[in-house]
Amino acid sequence: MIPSEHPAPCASPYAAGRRSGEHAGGCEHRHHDGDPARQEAAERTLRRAAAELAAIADRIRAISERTSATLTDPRMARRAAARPWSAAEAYTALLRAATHPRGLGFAFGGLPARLGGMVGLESLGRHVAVTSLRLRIAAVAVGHPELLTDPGTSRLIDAVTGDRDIATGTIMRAMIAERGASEAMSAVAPIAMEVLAARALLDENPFNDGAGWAIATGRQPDAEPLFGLATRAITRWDRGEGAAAPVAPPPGLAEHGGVLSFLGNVAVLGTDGRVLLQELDNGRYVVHAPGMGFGRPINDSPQDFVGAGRNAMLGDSPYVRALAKAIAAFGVPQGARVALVGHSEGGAAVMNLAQNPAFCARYHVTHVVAVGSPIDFKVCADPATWVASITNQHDIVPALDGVGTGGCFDLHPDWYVVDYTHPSHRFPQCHSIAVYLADLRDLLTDERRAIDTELSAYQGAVVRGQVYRLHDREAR
Amino acid sequence: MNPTVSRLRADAAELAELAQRLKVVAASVPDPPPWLTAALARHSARCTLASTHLAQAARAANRLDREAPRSAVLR
Repeated sequence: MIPSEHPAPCASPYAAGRRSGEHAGGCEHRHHDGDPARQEAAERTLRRAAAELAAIADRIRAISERTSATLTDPRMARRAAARPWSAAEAYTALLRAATHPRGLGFAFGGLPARLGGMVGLESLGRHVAVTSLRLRIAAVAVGHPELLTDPGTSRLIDAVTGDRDIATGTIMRAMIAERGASEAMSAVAPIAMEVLAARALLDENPFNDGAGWAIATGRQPDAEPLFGLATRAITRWDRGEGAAAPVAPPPGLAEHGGVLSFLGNVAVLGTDGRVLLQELDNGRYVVHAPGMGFGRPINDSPQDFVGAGRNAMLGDSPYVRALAKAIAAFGVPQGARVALVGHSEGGAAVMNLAQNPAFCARYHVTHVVAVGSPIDFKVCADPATWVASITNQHDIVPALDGVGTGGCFDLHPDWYVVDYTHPSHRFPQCHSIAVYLADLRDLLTDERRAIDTELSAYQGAVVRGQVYRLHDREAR
Repeated sequence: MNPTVSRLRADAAELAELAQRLKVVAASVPDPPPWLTAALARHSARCTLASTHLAQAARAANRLDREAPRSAVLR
């Protein structure tokens, strides 16, 4: 898949456009010196080449799997029994094709591929995929030259893509010891997915190979790339039919619309399980969904760690079901126009609502604004729904679905994507709603105006509001 | 033609085509870093060799198909 053309430059000096849709009116952003047009062209070329390499890697993998399948084809075996000498020649040729280190390499799929990976046998397809990932890193480095000039990150990139496991671990430990975990993670964040995918493809752990392939080829992984833990295994504790109970509103909620008001409301709500519904003076509705709360990873609220994982990777969750119940309890009439606004896990949860055909048949979801959310593989049920995704490149959370700053696949050319950076941002601070709110207010002024223009029908006065506390399950 | 032989031939042709596509990718990046030039040249050469291997396997499989008694093929 070849990425589409990037839009034309705009004025903001802070943001770096990963993908921006037509609604953006065109946004290209750089924060370092140099000719922006040339840098944009260089980045676009590298991403396009990376996408082409990923497609080639995929085709080589398919050929490898067909070749190894031929070796165990029962029809070949029947012929072989009749002509042993000719069969020996055919099998020798096939075996050479499937295992030659300067050809396909170790061209087996399934269990043999896993066993081969454990003893370091590598296939050609994997190496082409890793080259694609390294090109993606090079593309990110156009906007983040510090990745290649920083001794830690540059050594890490060399170690990971050079398949040097011990060196990779040593460098990461040294970076954390020297800079602290927060700064080390912030330094690696823009290329975290590429680094993890390359490790997954080259390490001896056979269980994370699928995740590595998925990230490298632009598909949604069904496991995490570090150890290969399956998504279903991680999210199995996030269960429940979802429940919503009305509670008193906290002070400080905005009384009018606009993206800063909506995100301000999300910040006021906090992450203790509360959501806000508002009705505007023109009969439109706004749903506010905050992100994951810190504390116990599994608790009664759907805004917990396992809930965050579930909403990022799967389409349904207690959070989604509880949100739907809150919307029904608020009395939003059938066919009403609704805007969904979410931060972090909340953004993934509202996107899950927007991609639910039954929900969208009942309500007219006109807009979704997701901030710091992993939503790249979600698709709205109504293609007319306008989606804005705002992500900081040093924030790892939006990349948890496998698509980070280095993504080279244009998954949503019609979305308005603001993928920005700022040298002072550190993870996890840069993931907080307060920082995103401040950035939209003070740094991303053009982008904020563009979003507000799209949300012009949601700028009016609030005539009614209700806060709900969400739970995984109904009270017994 | 035997479907196994057809598939091996098609895959050999596809790998030859992929080897060329890798060269095109290499040429599409202006001022490529040395690691990229080396990696793509290596990948392209491996595709070409793998294509040769698969073509040889197709010929051997075809010979086996022609020499095997009809009863064994149809079984």
